Order: sequence, then structure tokens, then C-alpha cells
Amino acid sequence: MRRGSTIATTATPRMLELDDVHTYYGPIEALKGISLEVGQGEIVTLIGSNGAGKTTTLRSISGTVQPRRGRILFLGEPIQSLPPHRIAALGVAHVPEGRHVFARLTVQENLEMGAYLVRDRAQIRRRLEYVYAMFPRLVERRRQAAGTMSGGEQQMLAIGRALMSGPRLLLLDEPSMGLAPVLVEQIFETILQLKRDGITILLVEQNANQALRVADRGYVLQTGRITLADEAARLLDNPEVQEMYLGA
Amino acid sequence: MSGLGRSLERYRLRLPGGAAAQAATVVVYLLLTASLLRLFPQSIIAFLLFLANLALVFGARALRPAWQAGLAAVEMGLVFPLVAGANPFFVGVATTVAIYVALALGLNIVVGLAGLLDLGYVAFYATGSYLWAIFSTGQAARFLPFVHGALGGGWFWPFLLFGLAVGALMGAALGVPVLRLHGDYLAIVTLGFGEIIRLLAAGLNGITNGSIGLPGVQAPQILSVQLGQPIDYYFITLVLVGVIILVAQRLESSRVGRAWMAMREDEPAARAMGIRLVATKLLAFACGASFAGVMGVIFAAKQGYVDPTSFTFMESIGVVSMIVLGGMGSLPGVALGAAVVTLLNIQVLGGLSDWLNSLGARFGFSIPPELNPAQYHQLIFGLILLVMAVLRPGGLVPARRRHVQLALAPAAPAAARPRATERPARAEARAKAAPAPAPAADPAADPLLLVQGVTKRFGGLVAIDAVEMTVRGGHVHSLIGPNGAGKTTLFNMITGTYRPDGGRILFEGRPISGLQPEDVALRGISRTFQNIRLFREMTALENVLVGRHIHLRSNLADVLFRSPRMRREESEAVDRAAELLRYVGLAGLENELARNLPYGSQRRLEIARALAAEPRLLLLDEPAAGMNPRETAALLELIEDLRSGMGLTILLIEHDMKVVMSISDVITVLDHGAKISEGAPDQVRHDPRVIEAYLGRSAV
Amino acid sequence: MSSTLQTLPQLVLDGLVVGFVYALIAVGYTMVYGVLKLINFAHGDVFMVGAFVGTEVLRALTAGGRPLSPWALLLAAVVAAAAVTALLGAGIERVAYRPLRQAPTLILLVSAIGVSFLLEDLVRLVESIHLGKFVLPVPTVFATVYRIHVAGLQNPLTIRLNSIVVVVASILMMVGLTLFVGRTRPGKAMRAVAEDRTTAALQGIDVNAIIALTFLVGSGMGGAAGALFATQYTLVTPYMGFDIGIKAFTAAVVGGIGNIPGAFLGGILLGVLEQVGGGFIGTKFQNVVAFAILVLVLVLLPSGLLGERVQEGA
Repeated sequence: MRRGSTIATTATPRMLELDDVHTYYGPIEALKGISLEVGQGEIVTLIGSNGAGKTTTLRSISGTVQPRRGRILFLGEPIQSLPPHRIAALGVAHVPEGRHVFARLTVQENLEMGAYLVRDRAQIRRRLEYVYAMFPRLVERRRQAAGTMSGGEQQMLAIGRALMSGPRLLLLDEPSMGLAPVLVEQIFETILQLKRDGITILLVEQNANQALRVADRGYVLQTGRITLADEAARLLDNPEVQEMYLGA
Repeated sequence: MSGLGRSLERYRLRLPGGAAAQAATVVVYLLLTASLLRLFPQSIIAFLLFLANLALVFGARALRPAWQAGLAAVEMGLVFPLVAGANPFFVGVATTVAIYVALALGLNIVVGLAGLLDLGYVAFYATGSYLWAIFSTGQAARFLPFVHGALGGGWFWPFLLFGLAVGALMGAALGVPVLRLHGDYLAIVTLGFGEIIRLLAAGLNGITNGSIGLPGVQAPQILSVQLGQPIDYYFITLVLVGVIILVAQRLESSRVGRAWMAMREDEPAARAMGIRLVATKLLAFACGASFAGVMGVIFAAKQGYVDPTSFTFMESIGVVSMIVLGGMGSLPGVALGAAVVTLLNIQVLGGLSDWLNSLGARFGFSIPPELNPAQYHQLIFGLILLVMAVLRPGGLVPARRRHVQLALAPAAPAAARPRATERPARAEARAKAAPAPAPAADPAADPLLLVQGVTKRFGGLVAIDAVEMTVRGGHVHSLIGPNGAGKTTLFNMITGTYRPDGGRILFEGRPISGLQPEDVALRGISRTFQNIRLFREMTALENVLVGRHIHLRSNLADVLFRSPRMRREESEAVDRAAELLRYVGLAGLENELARNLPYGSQRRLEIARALAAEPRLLLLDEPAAGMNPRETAALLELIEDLRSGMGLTILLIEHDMKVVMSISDVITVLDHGAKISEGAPDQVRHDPRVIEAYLGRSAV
Repeated sequence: MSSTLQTLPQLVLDGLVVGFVYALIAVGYTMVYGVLKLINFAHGDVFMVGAFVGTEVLRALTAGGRPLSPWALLLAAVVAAAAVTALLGAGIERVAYRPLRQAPTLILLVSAIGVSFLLEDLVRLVESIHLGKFVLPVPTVFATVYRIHVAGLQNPLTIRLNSIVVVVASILMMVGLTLFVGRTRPGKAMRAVAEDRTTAALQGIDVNAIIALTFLVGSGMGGAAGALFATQYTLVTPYMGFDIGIKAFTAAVVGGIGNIPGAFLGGILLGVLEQVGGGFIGTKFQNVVAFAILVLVLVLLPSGLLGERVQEGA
């Protein structure tokens, strides 16, 4: 395992690093020592079956649950004991599983909440334009309560809301869950677009195949441990991965 | 939490030494405090020191429970009357303490065991009081045409029973409308109910004589002997407290008490085990209220008059604070809490105010009545509630689950056992745990469960769209599909949690769609849950015993009198449950709280609980989620054994393709609420629609 | 029968005035329930503290014999009451509720009841030491009474200037609150926290700060209501918060708990119903009417008039 906390100015400086992270829910150890890293500008995906600890990993990074042991470095700074709003302020945006839009707030208000920490009104306006350009469907619904929209629209809103903070690292949890195939395609298009716009992404997906196709690298989780780490393309060809997650 | 909180959290009352040493300590202390009480008949301290005897007996854990109970009975029933019987003040205080202990034990059934916060408990106490007062003062003759004059003291005894019955009826009557409410909404409704009763008592002059109240309540009488001395009430109350403790204890460790606790811990899971929501909750309300009804009758007689000021909201909260202080759900804790709070109120506050007054007399100042500490009951209650809630929510003597001594030869813990011996052990355990496999003629040909055109909508979203599915007897039938495809929704319709919007479901040829979950359980369908829904504060064994609930027949009378039938049934159930725990590999963990078990064991405990119901169809919702490969392999083995060894039919939701592909006879694939494929594993694996929707289109 | 009908307009009028006070208190219940899913049992007592602070301020300002204008008196009393109770509410949250964020509802409610009892006897203690009594008369602020003759009614409708002031002040506060919650950044954050605490934190919202703010605002409104109530009903006691608190909570439930306009509506409705009901079956049973409404609404219509259906966990 490579060590070192300073960010080297290499081609892909390290943006996020998890070092032996253990996270518990009560007496249940959900993460049994996760170590991984995400470089600047990368898309990294976590795959694994239900209950493997993918969501818990994202929650540990964003501070929604606090790891009991281990370190999480974001841009070289330890964040494992910060509350979630402080971590968000550092530039980590987490789109939780199941979208969790604020159902009773309007679309526009949801987006404003995403920019809660941005004080510059012009900045907020620019980001709103960026998000509305990316998801034109949201424009026509800006005054509508978010809870009345379809699942796909809510997913767009959730991603748009996360983008409003101008994140450096985007944590995406099951963005394609429960969406019709056409929409799934669109979500993955969006992910690639975000990468082109320079956003680093850590992606958790049940749809391992699609995820590995857009990702640069991937980690395979099994019951709270990382069992495989490799380039995404190589994981796609890995017979073990194929058997367990790709149904080949 | 602060350091104080932590040390409070850890403290346990326990005497050192063996049985003999503990018994000696108890007796020496008893003699000592008895002589003190005799020597200083005016001393509050001596009185409190004497009461501490009970705590000491409780702390003598090495003694057998029967011995502990006997010692306590001797202390309070014999020694105390002998040394303090002549002091009416102490006897009165002790009686009041005993009344509150009884009230608190009654409320504890509702709040502590059944988890229903009742803030209007005093209403039932008021009912009992007014019942006796109205009939023994002649008030009844004013509004009931068939009653003439006042009843004599001899009627006191039957009225104890009437108080019990009327209390129980009122409890059930309150229970009916609030069944659907939970948590704080329930609490507020009960508060409103309590206030309404008090306001009616104050307002209905014709019946209760309004705020003036009813003076001249008759004292009890045996034949021609007129009772009514403080010591008489002391003995009556003491006997009743003894009975109530016995009843509370028996209820708690019975099928009934387990049902209450299961309901408190997890309502959906309890219903899935066949526990009737309505009956169980009503019984809790009725039992709790009946205790209060009886004590009300005694209270009215003891006090000699009844008026609405005795039954304020503060009284209800006073009883709640006793329970919170002592420890919700803990019998000794609740008794202790009741004693402490009552003494604080009448002894310590009163003592403080006497002391301040005498101090004032000596130094020439006077305490205005507004500042009299005896008036500040609420301060005490408030402090107790706040401090306990924040620092030690479990109470002074937190509830402990009963440890069951198993008759079986002690088995080595599963983890320590080499794997090679697990199979024979399982076969052996199964032989004991399960009845012979169902003698179905040709199980594979028999459609056990039929899902016909079932549809479920949530708002505008169609979660399940006209799904058809046939589960044949003896099969392992898997249900797969992406997250959000509707698998769990379908499960919830089969088990009665949801009612289908269209179509129907047949089990063994009979329709079950629209039945309540508890009725589905009775038909022979049992389940586990995706997110593990164990009764967390109950032991592993108790969890499995709850699973057996539908096969236990003992009723309230059996439980109260410990009938032979109940004892036989209970010991059989314990044996069976222990065997099931062994069968799933949890031997040695019977008395462990479910919440303390590791994740994989919790999953297996859930299966054992479901098996205890002896279902013909078992629904497993993602049993392998979060298991490591070794645990998954063990699970596969277990499922295989359930089918071939026990003859069970299994409907399985699972994401782990290895599990699904290796064990299923039939697989049904759902996507967006619709069935897109069905068949044998190989067939489904190569179905292009499945690959596109679920496995990813490029994987072909 | 006709005599009761004769009194109906006056009863409705009186009910409206007390209803506006209920509405102001109900807002506090509803806001706290929104963010914490907790019945802040101590809120009625926060209202009571507001009434005492208002009364003490009025006493101090009228004691000199050189009376200020009634408008200045009222403003001073209401502002002082709101300020003190806002801090008190935030303090209660910090001490009694925040340590219990993960605890079951039952424990939270127990803690809240503890605070409620504590506050009542503490105020009693403080006033007993300070004045030697704890039931205080409130100095009159506006003495004017208007009588309106209405055709068909034997007696003229009476309405006090003070009542009009109470209603107007209540409406102003409600408008202010609605704008705050609907339009401002912290107000929107409050709604976001109420809906989904975890997700709100992920947007960078300091959830604890927003919860504290909710208590600050809700308690301040309750305290202001206390001061207004004191001027209207001329007597304050440490135990007045219980009945009125429960009624205001009922109002919040009637309107749909968690819903601010609902709380306004519920308060006004309850005030009127209680007065009219009490007027018809006897004032002795006025509280019975209020509690019966509470029980019936919770049992039959737990989501209230404007509330959305509460989702039951599957």
C-alpha cells in the first residue's frame, strides 16, 4: 500500500484516500478496513453485491456515518472526524442512494439548497444555468414541488443539486437505480459529461457492467472488504468478476 | 455522554460473596435496621435504612428467587409491622409507597413491556376510587334508581374485583381508538383522555359531587369486624402488591409478555410471526388499567374521601417518572423507582420543609408557604425525568432479560466446532427440531402458492404490474431483478403487509390476498426481512419463542395460574427453540440479546425465528446480503437442507447470483414491476431480456 | 335556545381572539415537530415564561407612576418576552434534546415532560422569592372597550382595544414568519432539514445550527404569545402553560402537524370551537371540548386538515 499525505503534482494527483477504514452500525462491522484512492479527474467505481459496503463507504467519506478506525484524506487533509456539512464545504458532494430530493421544496429551491454554502449570487446564477443546460427537463419544472416528479427527473435534480456546490469530488450512489433503460443510458452520458468538465467521480453501481464501462478504475467489495482493484477495462474481462457481477 | 453518565450506566446492584455470605448479610442488616427502627420511632433515616432491606435482598443474587421473595415477604409482612406497627405515620407512608409500587407495576406493563406511553394512567385509578366512593357513600342512590342507601364495608372485597374489571374495561375501551397510533401521538391521546376523565369528575356534579368530592367513604369490614386502622390498609395493600408482583412476573415471562415485548420492539415483525396486533395491545391496556382500578378502590377507602384533585396530570406523570427512574420494563427497578419517588415526595420534601421551619423558628425568620419545599413535587418529578432521560435512559435497575437454563447437554458454541461435524449435527438437530416432512404425495406437482395478475400502485407509480407466478411445493423459487423492480413489494403482498390493488393470491388453494399479516402467518407462511427485523432487546431464545407464538395455546388464565398445560407447552417450546438455534448454528448464544449478535448470526436467528412457526412456505428476503463467502456457503447448505431435509418450500429474493443460480428450481425475473422471464436457472441466464434489463446489455 | 343564539356572535369574536394566541403557540409545536419529530412538551411552559417576562416588564415600566404610551409598553413587553424565551428554547434544545438525537421517541418525550415540570416550579420558586407570590395580576395596557350595536342582537358586541391589538400583532408575526420560512436562506434550510436531515447536511447545512434556530424562532413566537396573552387575560400563573400548551398542540394537529399555515388555521378554529362549545354546554366543560377535539382529531384525522398523509414504515 502506498503511503504519503502530500499531494504530488503528478499527472493524477491524489484527491481522495481511504486508509484502513472501519465503520460500524451498532455492533455490526460494515467496513472491515477499506483502503482505496481516487485521483484528480478520475471516475472510480465500487462494485459488489447488496450489503457489501458500497453505500457505507460513500457515507463514511461524506461523514453521514463516522468511521470508528482508519483515516480518510481529502486533498491531503484528514476528514474522517468532521461532520458532514464541513466535509461538504471542502468540496465533496454526495448524491445519496434513492435520490433524496427535498420533496416539498420546489425544483429551484432544491438547487438553491445545493448552493447553500455559496454566497456569491452571480456564481449561483451561473451554476443554475449550467445545471439547467445539462438537464433541460428541470427548467420547465422549476416551480414544481420536487416530490411530484418522476424517478428519472428526481435523479437529475439530485445530481444537479450536488453540482450547485461546485464540487471537486462527486460521490454518486446508484444513480441508475429503478430507472428505465433509456434513462439509465442518459445518466451514464451525464457522468461522462461531468468527467469532461473536470469533476472527479466516485461511483457506486449495481449495474456493474455499465459502471465499469464509464470508469477508469474499479474496486470490488465483498462483505466490507476490497477483494479486487484494477483498471476498469481489466475488471470487465476478469472471469471472476464476470461470473459474480456480470452474469456471464 | 458525560463521565458521570457512563459510570451511572455501568453500575449494577450486586452483593459480593456466595449464597451463605449474602444471606448472612441480609439477616444481619435486617436485625440491625429493625432495632434502629424500634429505638428511634420518629427517625426518618431509620425508616429509610429499613426500606433499604428490600434493595439488599434484591442485590443478593446468589440466593434463589424463591428465597429472595420469602425474605422480602418476611421483612415487610412480619418484621416491619412488629417494630413499626404502632407508628401510624410510618405505616401510612409504607402503605402509600406500596400503592404507588402497584400503580407503577401496572403502568409498566403498558409502557415498559408493550412500549405504549400512557400519560393518562391516573384515569383508571380515579375510576376505581370513584367506583367505591359512589357506592359506599350513598351517592349512587341519587342517580341510580335501583340503588338504595350506601353499601356497607363488607362490600369492599367484591368491589376490589369490580374495580379490577371496570379498570380493565376502561383500559380496553381506551385502547380501541388508539390502536393505530404510535409513539408520541398515542401519548398525547392518553393525556387528553386522562384530563377528560378528571374534568368530567369535576364537572358531573350529579354523579361525582363535582369538585367538592365525596366524603365518608366506607372502610372495609370482615364479617362484623370493622377495619380501617392504618395497619389494616398496610396489610391489604401489601398482599395485593405481592399478588401484583407475582402476576406481573408471570405475564412477563410468558407467551403474553413476549408478545407485548415483540410488539414494542418491532410491530411488523411481530405481526409476521402471527401476533395479533389488536388483541395484544388491548390486553396490555386492560391489564395495566386493572391494577390501577383495584388500587383506586383501596385508595378511596384509605383516604376516606375522594375528590378530583387526587387525579391530576401530575399524578400520571408521577407514576411515569417512577418507571423512568427505576427502569422501564424492569420489575425490581419499577418497584424501587416507585418507592424512591414516593419517599422523596412525602418524606424528603416534607422533612426539608419541617427542618426549614424549625430553623426559621430558631433564627427568627419564617418560610412563606409559597416557598414550602413540600409544594415543589413537580420540581422533583421534572428533575428525575430530565436527568434520567439524558444520563441513564435505562433507569436505575435496567431491565434484564431472563436467562433460561437449558435442560439440554451444553453444546459447544458453533464457531468453535469444526465444520466437518456440522452436517451430522444439523441432521440430528433437525430430527429434534422439526416435525416429519409434510407427506405430500407429489410435492413438485403441487402449486403451493399462486399469484394471479397481482397489481400494486403507490400513488401514480405502478410497483407491481399484473404479475403471474406459481410456486410449487418442495421448490426453491427465486425472485430476482434490479433494485426497485418490485420484489419486496410482491413479498409484502404475499405476507399481508400490503393489499393488492388488483389480482389475487392463493395459498394451498385458498385466497390470502387482503388478509392481515398475522392471519397469513397462521395459514403457514413465514418470512425474514431484507433489513433484519429482530426483537433487538430480547434474547435469541426469546426471539425464536416469539416465532412459535402461533403454536402456543395457553391463555391468560393458564399464565396466571401456571397451569400444567402452560408449563408443559412452555418447556416444550423452549426445547424446540433451543434445537432450532442449534440447527442454524447458534448453540450457546440462547441468552444473548439479539442486538449483540454479529451480522451473520442475526440473519440466521431470523431464519430460526421464521422456522419456529413451522411454515409450509418460507419467504427469505436477501438472506445472503452482507455475508462473506464462508457464511454464504453455510447459508446455501442450510437452504438446501430446509428443502430436502425439512420438505419446506422456499421463495427467495436474492442478489447474489451464485446463490440464486446454484440453488433455485425456478427463477422469476421482475423488472419495473413486470415479470420479464421465468424458468430454470440455465434458461433464465440466457434469456436476452434478462441480460438486457438486469445483467447489462453488453454482457451477452 | 334563542338566547344562546343571541350570544353566538360574541362567542365567535372571543374565540377568534384566543384562537390567534393559540395559533402563535401552535407554530412553535409545529416547527419543532417538523425538524425533530418531537412533541416539545415544554413549549407550553415557554409560553408561560413569556407571559411572566411580559408581566414583569409591564410591572417595572408602570411602577414609576409616569406611564409610557401603551404602545411602547406593549412593544417592550413583547420584545423582552420573545428575546428571553427564544434563548430559553434554544437552551432547552441544547440541554434536554440534543443529547438524545439517537434515542427513541419515548425517552425524548420523557425528557420534554421533565423540562416542562421543572420550568413550572422554577418560575414559581423565582416569583415566590421575588414577590412572595406566584399568581400575578397583569397591569392594564389598553383600557378602551368598544361596544358595537348590531341589529337583531339584544346586547351590543363588546370588543376591547387590547383584543384588536393582540389580533393585529399575531397577524403581523405570522406574516413575518411565513416570509422568513418561505423566502430566506435559513428559512429554506429549515424546511430542508425538516424533510431530510441527512441530505440537508450533505448540502453543507449545519443541521444542529438550523435546529437551534428553529427552537429560537418557535420559542420566541411562543414567548411573544405569552406576553400578548398576559395583557389580554390579566392574570398569570406558573401552571397556565399546561392547558394552553395542550390546546395549542391540538391546534397544530388539527391543521396538520409540521405545516405552518395549518397551525394558524387550527389555532383559530380551535379557539372558536372551544368558546362556542363551552358556551353551549357550559363553560365548566370548555376544556373537555378542547381535549375531546384533540383526541378525536388524533384518532380520526391524524394528518390534520392541511397535512399530508404520514408515511407508515413498511
